[in-house]
Amino acid sequence: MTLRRKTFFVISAALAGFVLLLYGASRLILLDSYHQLEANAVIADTERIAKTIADNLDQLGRTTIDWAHWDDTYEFVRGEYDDYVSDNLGDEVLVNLGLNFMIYQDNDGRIVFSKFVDLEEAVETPPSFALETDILQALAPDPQNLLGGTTGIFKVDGRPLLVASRHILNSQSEGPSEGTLIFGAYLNEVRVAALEETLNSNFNLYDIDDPALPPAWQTIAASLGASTEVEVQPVSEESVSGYRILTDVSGRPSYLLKVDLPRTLYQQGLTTLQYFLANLILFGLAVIVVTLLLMNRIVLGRLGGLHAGVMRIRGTGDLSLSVEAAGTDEIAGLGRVLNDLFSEVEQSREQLRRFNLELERRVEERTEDLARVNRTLQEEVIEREQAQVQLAAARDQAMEALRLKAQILANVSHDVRTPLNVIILRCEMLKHEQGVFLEPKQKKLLDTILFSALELLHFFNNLLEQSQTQDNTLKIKHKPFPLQELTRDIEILMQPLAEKKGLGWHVEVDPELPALIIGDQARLKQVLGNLVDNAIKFTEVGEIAVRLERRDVEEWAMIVSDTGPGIAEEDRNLIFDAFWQADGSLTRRVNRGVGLGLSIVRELALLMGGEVSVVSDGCGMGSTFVVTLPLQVGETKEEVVYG
Amino acid sequence: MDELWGLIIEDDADLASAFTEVLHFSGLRTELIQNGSLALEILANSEPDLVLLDLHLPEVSGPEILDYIRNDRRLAGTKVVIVTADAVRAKQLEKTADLVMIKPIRFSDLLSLADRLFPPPQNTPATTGE
Repeated sequence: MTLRRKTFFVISAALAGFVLLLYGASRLILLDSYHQLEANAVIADTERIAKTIADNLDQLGRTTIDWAHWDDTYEFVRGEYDDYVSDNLGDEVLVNLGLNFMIYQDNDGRIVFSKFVDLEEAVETPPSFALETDILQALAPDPQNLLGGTTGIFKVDGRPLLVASRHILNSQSEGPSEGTLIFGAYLNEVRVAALEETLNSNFNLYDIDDPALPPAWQTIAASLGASTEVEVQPVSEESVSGYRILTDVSGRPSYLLKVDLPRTLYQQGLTTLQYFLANLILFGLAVIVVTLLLMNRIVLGRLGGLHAGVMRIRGTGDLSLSVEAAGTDEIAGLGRVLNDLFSEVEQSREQLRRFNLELERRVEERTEDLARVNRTLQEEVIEREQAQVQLAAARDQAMEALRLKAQILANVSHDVRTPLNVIILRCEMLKHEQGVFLEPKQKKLLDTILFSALELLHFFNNLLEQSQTQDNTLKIKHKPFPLQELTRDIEILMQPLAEKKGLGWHVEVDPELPALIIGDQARLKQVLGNLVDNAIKFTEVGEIAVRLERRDVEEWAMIVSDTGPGIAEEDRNLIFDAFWQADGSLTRRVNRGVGLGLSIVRELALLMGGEVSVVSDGCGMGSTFVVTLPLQVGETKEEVVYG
Repeated sequence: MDELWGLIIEDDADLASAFTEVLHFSGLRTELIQNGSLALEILANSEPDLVLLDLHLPEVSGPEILDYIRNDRRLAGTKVVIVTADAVRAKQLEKTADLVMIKPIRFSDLLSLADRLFPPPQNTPATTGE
């Protein structure tokens, strides 16, 4: 709904309300006034008619007095004037007087004379009602009041009759009363029509005792009672009626005077209201048109212009366009603010475009950088993969070399050991068979040969052992064996060597150790043998001590101490490396052996779940090698069988 | 008691003759064989008390000869002593052989061999190994 339409509806509704309110109020006030006016007019008219009827009655009373207080009449009633009737009471006299009848009575109540005429036809008629009826008693004047009489409406056979009665007196209106004179005239259609013509009114009399009277009128008559007020009731849009009660001679309500009037005033009021309404509507329309025109010119048209301008800018997207902003009022201000906003938005948009370009440029730069880094990374990955392949190949080669080495060593050792075995056996046989015959020098030479052959064999054994541990072909056994066998074997093997060098020999087994231990007897013997051999090798003076001891519930140790030169601190970590003596440092100093023994000790100790360490102060106080091993106690001695 | 006799199956002539000589000291009569197939031929026709067996032999290997002996009921009383320089191999054959000797073989070991394998009859009768 456009603003114009809304404005139109709002103004129209307001004006319509205003017009309706004004019209309603006016109608209420005006119509009420017109009703009042109309009622007043009706009352006045009704009263006028009632008064006219009363005037007629007064006129009738005066006429009656004129005739009653007259000597001729006085004499006629006394019977002294015989020609009275012929002289005075012709038909035309009644017609001229407007009387329907006249009745002369003497004091005895006898009717002296009476005459009835038809006023329309102007001819005498027989009496229209029985003269013996109560009318004469009812009209009889007060005998005490000679000048008084009765004047009023009397109902005879349902017809309204205007009557007057007076004492018959002389012309000086003096008594005694000789009788009563009664004059009467019917208030019939003719008379009413005459009155209507005279009064320019339209009225009727209705007998309130007539059962045929319409109920509404009966109700009005009942409500009015004996009051002489006028009841006004509209009959239709065109006519209104006034009702008034007329009383009869005895003061009893007897007739309902109904006056019909055209509702001229009311109609005028309605017409006025209609004109008023028409004027209001015309005025309202004019106000709407003028207001809309003004609003359109001052507000709506300009708002529409602003809207159109904004829509145009939105449609084209061209923010350099501007909207109408001429003037000093709020709408012009709004236009200026919009123009400012548009230019700001355009500036922001321009900035945003520049930022975007900058951002795109940076993204491109970063993308290039990333691509470069990516390429570098890919190259590195490829290089690394190649390196890995090379490494794997090198590792395989090394493994193969190790395997080949072990194989070659095995073959060499076999090939060497057989002739060495021959040398050893022959030497021993020689000693055994010819020992007693040999000279000490020969015996010593023989021992030297034997010792050297054993040494050489021992070397090859170590070489083979070391290559096998490196090649992971060595398996460790877990089998119960008596510890005593271990010490015994070592003593058999090593004690002669120690004694040969003049060294003390001391073996000790911790009584806490079990007699049976689970392990690899041969490997343990090898480890202990190598340590002792090493100790003997490097010790010139003193003793070699071997001790097996229990460390705790889970660990035991083989300890070999010597009184040799000890090991320098910087060498302590090196001595367990294979071939460490190959650099010549220690070998030169002691001039003996290749350092495979300790390397094998360490490898075997590790394979058996233990470790080897050395304690030495390195200044001629000897060395102590300790091999710690997990302790597993063998269950029974008896199951172990030698061999 | 009959004289004990054994076969020395060893391809190295010098070592074999040394073995022979030392075993003679301990009263064993021995015969020397230097290749495997010949050894099988001889074993097919005789029941030696002892076989001193080298593992590295031409034609037929030591373990094959050991299998042959152990699968022939006729040779149930024959003691087999393995002589080798290969400690690993020696371990594997420990159960099948009566005794395993790793080179170098010492004079004293050979000298006591007969006593260890054939104890004097007054103690316990000679039986097959464990």
